[in-house]
Amino acid sequence: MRSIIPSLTLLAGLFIAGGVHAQCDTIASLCEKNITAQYIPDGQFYRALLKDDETAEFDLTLYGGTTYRIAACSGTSDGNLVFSVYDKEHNLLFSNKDFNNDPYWDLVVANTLDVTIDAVLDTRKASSGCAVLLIGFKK
Amino acid sequence: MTVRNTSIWSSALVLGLMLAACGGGGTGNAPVENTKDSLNPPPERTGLLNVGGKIFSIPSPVQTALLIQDLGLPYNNALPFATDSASRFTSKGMKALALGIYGADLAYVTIHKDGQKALKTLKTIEQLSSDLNLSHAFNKELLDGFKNNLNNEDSLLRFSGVAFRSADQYLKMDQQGDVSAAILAGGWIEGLYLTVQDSGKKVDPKIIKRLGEQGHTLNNLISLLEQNGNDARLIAALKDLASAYTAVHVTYTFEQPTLDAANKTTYINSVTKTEVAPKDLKIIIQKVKAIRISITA
Repeated sequence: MRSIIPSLTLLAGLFIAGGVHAQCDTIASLCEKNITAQYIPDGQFYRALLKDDETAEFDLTLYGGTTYRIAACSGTSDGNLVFSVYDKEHNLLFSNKDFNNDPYWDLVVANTLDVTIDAVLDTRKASSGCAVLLIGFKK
Repeated sequence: MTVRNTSIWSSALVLGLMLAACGGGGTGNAPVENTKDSLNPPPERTGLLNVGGKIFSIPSPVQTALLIQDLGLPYNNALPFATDSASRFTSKGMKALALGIYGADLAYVTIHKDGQKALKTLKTIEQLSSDLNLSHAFNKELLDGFKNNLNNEDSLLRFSGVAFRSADQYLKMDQQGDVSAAILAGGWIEGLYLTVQDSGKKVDPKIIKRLGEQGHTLNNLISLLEQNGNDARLIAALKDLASAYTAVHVTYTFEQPTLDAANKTTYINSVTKTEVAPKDLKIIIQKVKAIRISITA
C-alpha cells in the first residue's frame, strides 16, 4: 500500500501536468484568432500560469511607425484576463480593464519605446489559469 | 519511516507539478473549464515566469527587414548566410542560433522578392528544425504554402511568423528555453547584421536610430540567455556589445495617448530621442559584425 500511494500521487501530478499543457495549448489556439491576417505574428509565444492576483510581467520594445496588435487570453472565453501597458516611467498607456477586458487591442506607436505589459486574471471570473499573450504587427 | 514516506509522496507531487510547470510539449486540445478554480490545485508559479517574474520579448527580425525595405537599401543577395552551410552547425545550441539567423534571412529575401533564395532558405530551416524536433512547425504544409504564395509577400511573412511562433510555443512548453532563446538571439543578431552590413561612411539616420534603440532589447536578450544557461561566450560577446551601448543617449518624454475606442486602437504619442556619436556607432557596428562572424565562421 505504501508503495502504491506515492505512485498514485505521481500519477495525479502527471495528470495535472497534462491538463495544464492542454489548457495553455487550447488557449493559444483560441487566442491566435485575434491576430488576424492583416498582422504578422512576432514569432514568439508568451505564457504564464497565474493564480489569484498574481501578475505576469512582459517586457518589450515597440518600434515607432508600427501598429501592433496585442492579444491576451485566459480560459476558453473572452474577458478573463486584464492587461495593462505601461511605459518605462510606469505611465499607463492602455488597459483593457476599461473595455470589458477586451481580448485584443491595437497600439499605434509613433516613436519607439520600451514598455511593460502586466497581465492579471480577473478574479471575478477565474482564480487560476494559463495566461497567453500574443503579438502581431502590421507591415 | 514516516518521514521517508512523506518525502516520497512530496517528491512525487512536486515532480508532477514541475512537469505541469515545465513541459511535455505537444499540442493537446483537451477542453478547458472557464470557471473559477479551473485548476485544482493551482499550479506553482515557479518555472513558468522568468527572472524576477518578467517575460522578455525580442522584436521580430521581420521588422528589421521591413526597415531595410523602407530605407530603400539595395538588395544584396550575398548578405544572407549561405544556405548550404547549415551542416557546419553540430550542437543543439548552434543549430538553434542558425535557425534564428536563417529566419531573419528568410524575411530579408522574402521582402526583396527573391523567391528562389526564399525557398532554399526555407528548406535549410526545415532541415535545422527537423534536427531540433520542430518539424511540426516547419512542415511540408508550410513549404507548400510558401511555394503557392511566392508572389504574396504578406502571406509569406505571416506563414513564417506563425511557424516560428509554433516552434517557440513547443519549446517553451517543453522546457527548452535555451533553444528558444538561441533562436531569438540568432534572429536578432542577423537582423542587425543585415541592417548595418551595407552601411558605408554615411549611415542613414533611420539606421542609426534603429541601432540606438536596441539597448533595451539587448539587455533583455542577455537576461534571457543567462536565465536559460545559454553559451557563455555568446553572452560575453553580447555583454561586450551592451557596454558599447552605454554611449547611446536615449531621452524619453511621456505624452498622453489618444484613444479610439470604436476601432479598439490607442495611439501612443510619447517621444523618444536617440543620439549616438559617429565613433560610438562605428564601434557598435563593428561589434555586431564580429558577433555574427563568430557564429557563422
